Amino acid sequence: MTAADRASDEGQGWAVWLRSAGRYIREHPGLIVSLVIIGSLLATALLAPWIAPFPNDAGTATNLLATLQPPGGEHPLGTDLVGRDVLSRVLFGTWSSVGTSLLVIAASLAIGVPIGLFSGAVGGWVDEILMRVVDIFLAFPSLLLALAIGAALGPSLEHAAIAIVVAWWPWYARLMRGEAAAIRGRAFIESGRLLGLGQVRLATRHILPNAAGPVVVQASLDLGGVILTLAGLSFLGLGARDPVPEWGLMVEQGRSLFQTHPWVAIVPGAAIMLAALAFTLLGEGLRERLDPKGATRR
Amino acid sequence: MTMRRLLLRRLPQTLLVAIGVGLVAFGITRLLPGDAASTWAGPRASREELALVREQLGLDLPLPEQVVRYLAGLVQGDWGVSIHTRQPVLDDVLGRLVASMELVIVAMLIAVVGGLLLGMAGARWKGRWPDWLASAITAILVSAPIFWLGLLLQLTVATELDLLPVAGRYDREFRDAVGEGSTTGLIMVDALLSLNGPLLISSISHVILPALVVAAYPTGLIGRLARASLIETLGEEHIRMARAIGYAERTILLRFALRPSLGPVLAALALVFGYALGNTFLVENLFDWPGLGSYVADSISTLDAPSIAGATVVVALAYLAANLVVDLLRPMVDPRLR
Amino acid sequence: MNDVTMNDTTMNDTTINATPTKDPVAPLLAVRELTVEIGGVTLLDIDELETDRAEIVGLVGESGAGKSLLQAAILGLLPVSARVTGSIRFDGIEIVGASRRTMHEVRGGRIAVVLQAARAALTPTLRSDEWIDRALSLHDVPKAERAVRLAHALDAVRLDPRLLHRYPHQLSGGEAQRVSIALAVALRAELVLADEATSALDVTVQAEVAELFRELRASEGTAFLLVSHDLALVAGLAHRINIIERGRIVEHGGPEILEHPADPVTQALVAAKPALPRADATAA
Repeated sequence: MTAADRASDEGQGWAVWLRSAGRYIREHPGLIVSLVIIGSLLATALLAPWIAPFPNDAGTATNLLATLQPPGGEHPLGTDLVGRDVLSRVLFGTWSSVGTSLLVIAASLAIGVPIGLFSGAVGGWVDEILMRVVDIFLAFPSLLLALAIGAALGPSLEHAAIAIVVAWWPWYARLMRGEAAAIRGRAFIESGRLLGLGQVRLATRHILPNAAGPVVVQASLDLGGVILTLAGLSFLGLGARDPVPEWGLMVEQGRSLFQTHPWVAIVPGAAIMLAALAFTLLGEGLRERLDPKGATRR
Repeated sequence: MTMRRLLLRRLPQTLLVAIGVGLVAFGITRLLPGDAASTWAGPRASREELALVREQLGLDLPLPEQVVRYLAGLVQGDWGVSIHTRQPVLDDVLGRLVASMELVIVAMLIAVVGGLLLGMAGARWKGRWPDWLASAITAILVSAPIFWLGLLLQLTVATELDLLPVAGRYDREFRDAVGEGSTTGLIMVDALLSLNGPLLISSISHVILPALVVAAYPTGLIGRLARASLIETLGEEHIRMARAIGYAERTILLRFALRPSLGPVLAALALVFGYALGNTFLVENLFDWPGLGSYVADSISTLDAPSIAGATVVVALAYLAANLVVDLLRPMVDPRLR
Repeated sequence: MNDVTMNDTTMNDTTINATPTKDPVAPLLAVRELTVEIGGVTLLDIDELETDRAEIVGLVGESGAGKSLLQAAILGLLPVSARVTGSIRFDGIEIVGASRRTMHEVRGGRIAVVLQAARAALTPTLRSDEWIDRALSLHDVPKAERAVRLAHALDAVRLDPRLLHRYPHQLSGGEAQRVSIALAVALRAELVLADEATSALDVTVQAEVAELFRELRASEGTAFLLVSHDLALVAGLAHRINIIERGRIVEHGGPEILEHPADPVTQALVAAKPALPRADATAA
């Protein structure tokens, strides 16, 4: 095989790869779009201090000479009531809104998954009691539970995050418990038990990988929900406080100005929508692969 | 299984959860910052007055006794007295609940009809432009922050275009009529019952905008669920058979595929109800709607523990009731579940 | 052959012995030079396939051979993206490219279908009597006549009328299959496409249904196109058998092809037992 042949073979290889990639994109547009958006969000969250034109505006800096500037020029998305650059604040807000939501989901998983796993794997009256507790938490609509707890704890971004975690972990516990209980009955677990494997090792080695699929799907879908809930809490004044550039808070700050200076509220709201949309699409795209049986609640 | 058996099965579980709900509500009241007694008595109260209030509220009793006293009170209808309205919490909360429910019910109706239409469009023309459009719409509805949506609609429809009222539940001129003719507390229903045309129109025009906003997320959710469920049903053998029998595609969608597909939608309905109820909380202060949401907002700012607890309990109970109703409805819609 | 709007009720009124008013020599179903292409791939390429009136014809092949696609073509139910050339004539009516109005009478009313999954084929949320009644109504059978036709059909398929009050999930496989067949009889279908109609039933019920087909052919004059992978079963019933492989008819003839299969595909089908995967034909 000559070098020319080898080269043309390689060229063919790239073309084939491109074509199949193109086909994949056309067949799964939602997934690709969501990944692109999420990638951008993560990049923004990490790189905000460097790409934002007025990084200090995300903190305590104010510019009372340039308040309520309409979008254009130095401030592509305008400025708010105290002259802060909206674009910069929105970019920094990625960390406050999306970043916090990621942490909330991570914490909810960290609490809910082990509890559900334990409950489902062990069964018996332990299972019954734990699931009753979960039921009690799930008896409240999530937003309202988070609201009540947030109110009790006092307004701050951290408290809002904690409140949401308290409201959210039961979903994962119940989901995980369902999967674990189903797998518990399967043959190879039985044989595992006969061989005398330790309970914990049993659980993590066998149940976790199988049950992971629906949990991952649910978590992705929930990220959108958590972002919206967090924004909602901040909007009500129970979450982040000024000057934290959390998107929900920014919408609230722009509320009274909406008729005359709409951009102050519109921009952060659009950011919330974009992020929630990305994670919803991600979750749905993953669902086909990871949870075809539909164990997730949405 | 029969409806009675289903109810009997669910009752002990529901009861247990209800008690748990009461406990959580109690816990929240104790978590709230501030001393309940001084909040109640006011900043100028003397030490004796404070002690008296403390005794009245039962704050000097040991904790387990307080819990029992609170739970017993809930059952008997004594939910405490609201600090900021000075009314019994139960009365407050029930009245406000009805107002919120009016919003939620209208929103749910919009959501079910709208969601099913979107889902049907997506399933019927799967892969073609109506599907893309319907999917885009539901995706946006599910992702848009509701308070933002409310602001946008308020600005465009109400303020700029002046098509609908900006806020409130009815025009001020009807205030007396509402007080007199109130049977259900649902103003639209009452207006219908008392044949008060102008009030009916006024209340409908006031409810449309907030209901649309509250309905946004549920519509999107139902739309996506319905589409997925319909597509799955349309792939089933009995649909293939119906086509071979000669039914038109539209008939197949509406008469053969729709009902068997309602299962997942119905299952999610209770959840959706919960979301809608939560959403009203976000929206009520935007539209000056005198429901539970604004009540809770006021209670939070005044650190009114009994009110917050009472509102929490009633919401949880409403949610539990919704779940029960949905579970009872499911076998009626799909005979396979009987 | 004139085949404008089929206002023809004469066929429906004929008894088994009366000669049809149409040309007695022309087949009931005639597929000629039919090609079906989807997504650039030619999935069907059939030179000739015929069914006469009151004849049982078999179409045998493995899954993926094109059996379902051919049925869809006959019913005019191919996907929108399919490119079709050639002709499918049913009683002189051209089905390829037919209008919706033409197909309204033919599909379901004159050509009926019986599917493999007997219970799954019935609408789960309807009782069987409602299911049949609606289908009769769709095909413009006047209300007064429906009860008569139903009674006759139940008699012909030997189905207890009380079973009609049940939902599909309350019926056995054999009972559900009889419901489908009863519908075909009530609609006075001249041709029944039996798509693996017995494959999912157990052996005794299979034999009953096969016997039922034979009876209906004699009593109602119904023609059957038995579509199946089970050559032995088809050979026991059919007057003529077509073997289909990769969209083409590779062999056709009477039941004697079972004894002397000419084509290797047929040979493989003869040799294969129904439940096991067949030996790789390409190795031949």
